[in-house]
Amino acid sequence: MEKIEKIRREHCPSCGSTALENILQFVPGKNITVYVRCLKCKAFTARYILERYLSDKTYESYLANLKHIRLSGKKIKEELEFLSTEVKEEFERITKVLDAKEVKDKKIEDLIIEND
Amino acid sequence: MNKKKVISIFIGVAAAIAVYFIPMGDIPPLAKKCLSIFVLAAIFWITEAIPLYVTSFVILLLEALLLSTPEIPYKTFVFPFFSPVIILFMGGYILSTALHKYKIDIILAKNILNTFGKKPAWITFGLMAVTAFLSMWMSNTATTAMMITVSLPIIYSLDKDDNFRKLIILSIPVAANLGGMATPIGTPPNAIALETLRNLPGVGAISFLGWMKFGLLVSLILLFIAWIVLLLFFRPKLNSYSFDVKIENKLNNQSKFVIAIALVTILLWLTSFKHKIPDAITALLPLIIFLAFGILNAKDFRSIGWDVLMLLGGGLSLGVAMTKSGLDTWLISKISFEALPDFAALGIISTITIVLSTFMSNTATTNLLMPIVTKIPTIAPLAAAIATALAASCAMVLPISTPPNAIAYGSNELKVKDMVKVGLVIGIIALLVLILFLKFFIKYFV
Repeated sequence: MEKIEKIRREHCPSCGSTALENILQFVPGKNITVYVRCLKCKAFTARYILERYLSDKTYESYLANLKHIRLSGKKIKEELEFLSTEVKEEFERITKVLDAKEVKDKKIEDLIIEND
Repeated sequence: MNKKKVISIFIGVAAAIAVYFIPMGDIPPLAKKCLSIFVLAAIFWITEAIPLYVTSFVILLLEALLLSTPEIPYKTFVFPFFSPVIILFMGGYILSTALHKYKIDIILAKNILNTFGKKPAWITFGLMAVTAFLSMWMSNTATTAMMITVSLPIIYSLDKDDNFRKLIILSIPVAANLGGMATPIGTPPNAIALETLRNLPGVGAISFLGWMKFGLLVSLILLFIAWIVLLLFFRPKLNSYSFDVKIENKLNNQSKFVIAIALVTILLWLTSFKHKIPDAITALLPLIIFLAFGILNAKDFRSIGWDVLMLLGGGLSLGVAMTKSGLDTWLISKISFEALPDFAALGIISTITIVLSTFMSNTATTNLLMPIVTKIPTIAPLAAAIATALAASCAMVLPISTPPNAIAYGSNELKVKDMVKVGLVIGIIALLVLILFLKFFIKYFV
C-alpha cells in the first residue's frame, strides 16, 4: 500500500516567514519541549513535545533516550544502525520531496503571474 | 515484516507441528504437546522472529489450549506471570526508574569517578566499580547507557590511536554484565533461578542476602580478573591522565527522599532473615511510596520493563508446563549424565548456557534451560540453577551478546575482534571460576 504522507515547510502564522528558530527546554524527568519562534516577527509559531530527540550526534542522543530496559543486544544494534543510516536517508529523501514540490509550486505561481 | 522473520516464523511453526504429529516412542501425550510448545518457543526466542515478550504470550496461549485439563486448569500457566519474583523485579525496576529520573545514578557515578586519581588503571577500576555497583540495583542496559554518556567526554579528549579509548568503552559493558550477577534483581536470569528453585521440592527459596553471599563474591572475583584482562589487552599510551568529570546536577529534596526509600528497601531485603517479610513484598514499598507521593507518575510506571517481566513470566510458565506435563522428566531420562562427574556436567551446562547466550537473549536462554538443568539427577538443583544463571551473564563475546555490549559497540570506538578477544578470555576464565566455585565452595554459602 502506498504511503500517505504530507511534507510541508513550517510557516509563521503571523507573517508567513519560513525563517524560524527552535528553542529547546529541558526539564529533568520530562520530555524535551521545543518552542518554535519566528525569526522575523518574533511571534510564537508552534510547540512540540518530543518523545525522542535526535541530534546529528546520533549515538549520544540514543544514549540519552535509553530509559527503557532493552531485552536483546540484537534489538539495540538494529536500532543504532537504523538511527545512523536510515534517519539520515529519510531526511535526505523528504528534503528532496519538499524542494521538488516547492519548485513545482513556484512554476505554477509563475504561470499564474504570466497569465495575469 | 522482513523476509527473514517470515521464514523464521514458518520454520518455528513447521517444527512445532512436526513434533506434535511425529511418533516419538515412550513420550507421554501431554509431554509431547509441551515439547512442541518448547520447540516453537526456542525457535522464536533464538531467531527473534517476533518480539521476545510476544513469544511469552504465544506460550501461554498454546499451554492453555493444548495442556490444560480438569486436573491442570489453564490458570496454572497464568500464575507465573505474576509470581513473587516478577513483583520483586517490578520493585527493582521502580527503584531503577526513580534513581535514573532524579539523576541520582549520574551524580553518584560522577562523584565517585573523581576520586580514582589519574592513573589509567585506576580510572578503569573506578569506572568498572561504579558500573558494577549500579548494575546490581539497576538494569545493565540503563547503567551502561549512563556510564558511557559520562565517559564520552573523557574518551573524546584522548588521541584517536590511544588504547585507553577502547579500554574505557569495553570496561563498562563487561562490568555491567558481571555486576548484574551479584543481586537477585541485577539481571533476569538470577530471578529465573530463584523462582525455579523456590518451586522445587526439597530446595526452597533463597533470600536476597542468600543470593548476594555467593553472587557478589563470584561477581567481585570475575570483575577483578576482567580488569586485569582488559589492562593486558589495551595498554594506554600515557601513564597519567588529567581530567575532571563535571558535576552539573545536585541532589534536591526529592532525590534525597528517593535515596532514603532505596536504602530502606535494600536494608529490608538484606535483613529478611530477621523480620521474615518476603523480598517480593518488600519490593512493593518503593512502588507504593514513589507512585503515591508523585515521585514517579503513571507514565514512569508504564515505562518500566514490562516486556522483560512478560518474557520472564513466559519462561516461568513454560517451566511449570514442562513439570506438569512430565516433559522435564522425560527429557532428562533421554540425556545420559550418569557417566559424567558432577563438575563435568556443570561445565557442560555452563558452556551450553554461555554459547547460547552469546547469540540470543540471556533471559530467553535461561528460560529454556532452567527447567531442564535443575532436574538432572546427578547435579544438585541449586548448583545447576546458579551455574545457568551466572553463566548467562558471562556471555559477552559479540556485540549482540548483551544489550550493554551492543551499546558499547555502537560508539564506533571498537572493532568486533576487540570484543571477541576480551569476551572469549573472560568467558573461559569465568567458566572455570564458576565450576570451581560450585564444586568446592557453594556449600559454605547456602
